[in-house]
Amino acid sequence: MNNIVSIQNLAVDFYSIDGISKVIDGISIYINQGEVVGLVGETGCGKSVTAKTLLGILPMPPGRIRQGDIFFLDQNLFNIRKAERDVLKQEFAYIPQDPMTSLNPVFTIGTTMLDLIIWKKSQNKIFKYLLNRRKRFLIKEAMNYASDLLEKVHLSKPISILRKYPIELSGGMRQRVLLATAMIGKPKLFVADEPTTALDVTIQKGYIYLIKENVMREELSGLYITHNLGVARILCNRIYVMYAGRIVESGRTSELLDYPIHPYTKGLVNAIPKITGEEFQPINGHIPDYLNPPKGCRFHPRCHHRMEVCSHIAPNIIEVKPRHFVSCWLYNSER
Amino acid sequence: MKNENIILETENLCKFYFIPNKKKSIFHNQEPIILKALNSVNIKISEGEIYAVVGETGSGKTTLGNMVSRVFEPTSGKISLYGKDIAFKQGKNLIEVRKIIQMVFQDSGAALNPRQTVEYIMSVPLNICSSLGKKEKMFKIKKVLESVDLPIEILQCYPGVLSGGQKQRVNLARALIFNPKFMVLDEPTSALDVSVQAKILLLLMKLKKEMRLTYIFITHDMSVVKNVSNRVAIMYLGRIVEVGQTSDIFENPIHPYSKALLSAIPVMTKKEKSMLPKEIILNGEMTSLEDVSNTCPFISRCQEKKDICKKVECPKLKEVNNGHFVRCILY
Repeated sequence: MNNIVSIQNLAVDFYSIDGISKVIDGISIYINQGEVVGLVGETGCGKSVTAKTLLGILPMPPGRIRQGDIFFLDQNLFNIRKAERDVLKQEFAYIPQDPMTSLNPVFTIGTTMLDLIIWKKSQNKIFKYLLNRRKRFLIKEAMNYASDLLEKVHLSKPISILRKYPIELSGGMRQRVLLATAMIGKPKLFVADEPTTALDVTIQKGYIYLIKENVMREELSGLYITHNLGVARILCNRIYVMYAGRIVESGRTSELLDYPIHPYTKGLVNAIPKITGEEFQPINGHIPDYLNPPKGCRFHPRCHHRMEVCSHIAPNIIEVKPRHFVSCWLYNSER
Repeated sequence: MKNENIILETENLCKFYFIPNKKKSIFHNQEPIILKALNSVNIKISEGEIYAVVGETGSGKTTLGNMVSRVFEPTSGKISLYGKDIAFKQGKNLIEVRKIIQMVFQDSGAALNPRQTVEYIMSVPLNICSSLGKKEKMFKIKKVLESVDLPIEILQCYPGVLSGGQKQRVNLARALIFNPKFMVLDEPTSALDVSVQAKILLLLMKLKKEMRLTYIFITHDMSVVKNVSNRVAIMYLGRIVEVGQTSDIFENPIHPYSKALLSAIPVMTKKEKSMLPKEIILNGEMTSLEDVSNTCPFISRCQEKKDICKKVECPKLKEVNNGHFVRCILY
């Protein structure tokens, strides 16, 4: 198998006083070696929860995994011991959403990166770390490594940046620093959670090309979460469209965006103002309440093409065209 | 550009901030650093127009909006509304201005006080600027809520319960309560989802038709600009670098910065990609506003720069086509 990650039939619940909210309901995603996969959808449809479950940083409770498996390099992350999982997790890199709040304002960039590098070097053991943190030659080595990393993300004068506090850097520079920090452990997989939403258009474009360059050089695979379909077009090989905790459509980027099939994807594409000046149409209604989600297809209350079946049985995922999957009764011949 | 029905005009509008110089020497106090947030901006807006202001963070778009709606006072310059100068008005005279110009602020969540109900939030402008009775106030509030498609039950809610789109609607309703002629919209859709964004944009268009409004539309999303506005001003470091009809600028961008900005739009379909200029990726970041010299502000990132650019002072806006102005020495 050349899948680096495969999530199979994953379902995540959240327990609260009001009841159980079924946020993620049976999703399957795979990422091939050297491929960047986009996860697209509205706010509150479970994109970030998916990423956090994959990384194992979802707070539990309130979260709980009802069913499903996550395989990473052919090992099931839920079945192995914690120590083994920690070793595997070193292959992950996480690029967080907000560059303003993700860096600790009381430490310099150098300290932040140094801590991480030495922590990695001392095999995640606290005594070894405390010992190593005092060794001069290790610190010097780590500093050189950090400035190398900063140079790779095209920051000029990396040594002076290491001495600066996050507040002294602009938004684009902070986001670059976060990318450099993510690359410390030489990961195989990166998970980026809307890293460009806080950036300007011109800087965003530069940043996307930077990620692309890093992916090529380090032979990374990635999961890129975004709600900007234009960004997804540049960066991703394949796209999964998510709605209310389910995958509704997936396929190769160009085909999915040019010829969307599912009514939700069509609505999403139509809702974006385009420079061709075509009219845009909003999708009526809003995301369902997860405490008692609609039966059957979760999109049917907002759908223009809904039928009798839609409100009773959830549709299966079918291959409509080669490598283009959709979950909708409109295209299911075994109605 | 036709000169008829000009609703708002600014002349050499400036806003400087004075930052105390930290490097104090013992012998003499050094002069404070001048931060030029806005540097002699001239705009003319005719009635019923949607005037988009585009630019990067820190280019002074929001400052321009705040200045025009008189949230703060300009350092120098003129703002004339229907021919009257409002740049330095205060007190009662300013309240009269407020009834004509209203502003929708940037972050819809932060613009509403989380400890006040929607009813109270909506009645604040009425308490300040009018002397209406309780019943009349309620009547007015309900009427405005209807026009932005909000249910009346929302009046008892706190902003924390509302969704992003609803918050933005409450903001809009608060601005619309005096039937203003002129609205400054500061990034009205940047915090919203695509489908909600489309709804708010359509609502804005509907309101404009019904109430005969004029908008200044501050944004950094070029594809929204293309769909919404009549004219565009592109700003860079406190200066307007290019103004023109929307179609002119999209078809024929002249200033190197406008070209870069247009080419950076993340587009979705093939058709759109063919409409954009060739890809330019800008190197580096915007220079800090503190060390802006008298030369062209874009000089550090420009890819078409020549030796003259460094020697000559910043050029003035020149008319290239009918109503298409550019601030670049090469044209």
